[in-house]
Amino acid sequence: MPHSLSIQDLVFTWSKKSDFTLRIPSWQVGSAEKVFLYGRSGEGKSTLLNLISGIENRYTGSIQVLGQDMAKLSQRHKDAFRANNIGIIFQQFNLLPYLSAQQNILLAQRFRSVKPASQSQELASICERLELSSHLLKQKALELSVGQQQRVAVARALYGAPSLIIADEPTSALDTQSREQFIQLLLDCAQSSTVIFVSHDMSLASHFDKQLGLAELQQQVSDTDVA
Amino acid sequence: MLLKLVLASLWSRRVMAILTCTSIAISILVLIGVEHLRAEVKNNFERTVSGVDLIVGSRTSGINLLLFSVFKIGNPSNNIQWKSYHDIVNKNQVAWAVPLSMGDSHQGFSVMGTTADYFEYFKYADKQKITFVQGESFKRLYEVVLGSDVALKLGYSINQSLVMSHGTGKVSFTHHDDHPFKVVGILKPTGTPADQSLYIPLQSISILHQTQHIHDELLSEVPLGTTYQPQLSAFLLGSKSKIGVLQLQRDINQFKQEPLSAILPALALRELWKIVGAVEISLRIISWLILATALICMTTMLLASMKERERELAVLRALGAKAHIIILLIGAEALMLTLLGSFAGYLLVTLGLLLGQPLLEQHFALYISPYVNLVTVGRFFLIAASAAVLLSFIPAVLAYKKSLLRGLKQ
Repeated sequence: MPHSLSIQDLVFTWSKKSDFTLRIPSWQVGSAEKVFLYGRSGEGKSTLLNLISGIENRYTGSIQVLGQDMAKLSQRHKDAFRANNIGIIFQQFNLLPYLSAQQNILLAQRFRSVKPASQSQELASICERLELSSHLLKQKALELSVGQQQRVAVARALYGAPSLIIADEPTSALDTQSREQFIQLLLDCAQSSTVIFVSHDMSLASHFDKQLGLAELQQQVSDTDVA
Repeated sequence: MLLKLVLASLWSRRVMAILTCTSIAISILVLIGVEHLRAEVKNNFERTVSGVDLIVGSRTSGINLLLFSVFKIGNPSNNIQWKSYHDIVNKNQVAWAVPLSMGDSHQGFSVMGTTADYFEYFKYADKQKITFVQGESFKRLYEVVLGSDVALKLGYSINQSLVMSHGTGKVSFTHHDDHPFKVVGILKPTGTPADQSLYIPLQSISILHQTQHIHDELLSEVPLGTTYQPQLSAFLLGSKSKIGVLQLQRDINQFKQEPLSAILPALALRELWKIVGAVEISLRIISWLILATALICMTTMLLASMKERERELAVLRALGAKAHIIILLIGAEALMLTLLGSFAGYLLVTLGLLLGQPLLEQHFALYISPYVNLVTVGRFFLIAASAAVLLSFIPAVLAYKKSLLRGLKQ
């Protein structure tokens, strides 16, 4: 089974002034795997996700996403690759407040070169799974409740069936019950996609196939260094 | 969709957007307004006299001569002797001559003593003759022809009787009560100072100032050596040939009997406009500076909004929006604000001119067309729009870099 993500000898230095360095000697995520990545604040979780999604470029080593070596893509192609293949769920969902729920869901579609055969059908099926009513779709994101925003954010990440879904602390603003709900919803809907879920909240780890800490990933460095 | 995104985003920041639009509208208003006024004033200015080869007055500066003889501003430094006039008019290069005598007023409007030839030879704009709306030129001593503004503002009509007063002030203590004048003609509006005068026969001016009794019979020519010899403020000359004009001018400037000045009206107009020109240039500079300020304000607004929009742009980037889309979004926003503001400014100018035109005409005798030159407006729009797009690159590039760096970070 090909890897959805394969990282080799990744070294990233935030800036010359700061001594913060992210090193990942080796990390593979299999296709359709659901991975929970644990990390404390400031450990570089977001940076790692930026690297994977091709937003951050200053690194050495190799990052392969869905078999594609990210370093070989120009910024333009990276943007297109991200639009086509990666679904992202942000902290606080990051819906554009002035767009309607539906416009938010279709937003990523705008930047994609590969469009689903039938947009309305795809939208309908996702909305049905996420219980998003047509009335709700017309509402501004700003007017939605947190729970509704969650579902719209998931719909946006799932729309167009991306092979890789990255979630960056999407539950930090939610209470415990909503968190559980949210993760269940995400995993139910994204069965065919690889999911990398980043959080500092260990209590969520049990929902995932695989759990690992960012510290662990980096630990190998010290291990190999020592060895 | 991109346009929808820009509009939706702008709408979500509408207070700031409206304020920015307003500041651009005001600056465009000033820019178009100043440019339009300048062009119209210049146009008005150049229309004032035409078809006159020389203006002759007692020795003075060309500008002063032009001002009092055509614009009815200021006073002649000295009068011209009737004999000098007669001698010059009899030179063989002279085709025609129209004597002018100023110094009296009626309700604040200047009274000009002249001959009926004035309406024949004094021309305005592109050699247009002064024509009558009503009545005709004076034929008797106590008859008066009114400029269109005088008739309009004082509400005079044909056959009405008026009393002239001495001096040029609005309030005069010497009224020539014993010589009422009858209105016999009203001139068509010309949009020049000619609209603001009353015209009476030259001889009447002289008798206004003399107590002797003269029968009301207008002679076609004032013979030399009679008891009254009118004193002239200036006179207009037409030359038989274009080449003769300069020779004639030199002859008059070197006239032995009396120090005289002869000027070419077009040249004097240009000289006068040069003085006004300094104001014109400063006005222009100021209006451009205002536009620059408004555009920089808009850039500042865009930059400030970048902070607010960081998340929004980061989301777009993360969803796969290419760099040019971010730049396009911000550029489109700047363009939209500028065009909207410019258009509002243009509408305001037109509205202002439509409302203000009667006032300007009434108080300053300025004929300002309420319709601004669309080519000029188009040029300003283009300049403002391209400046806006160029300036929007600053926030756009910064935003692009930032949205890349911050990415998914909060």
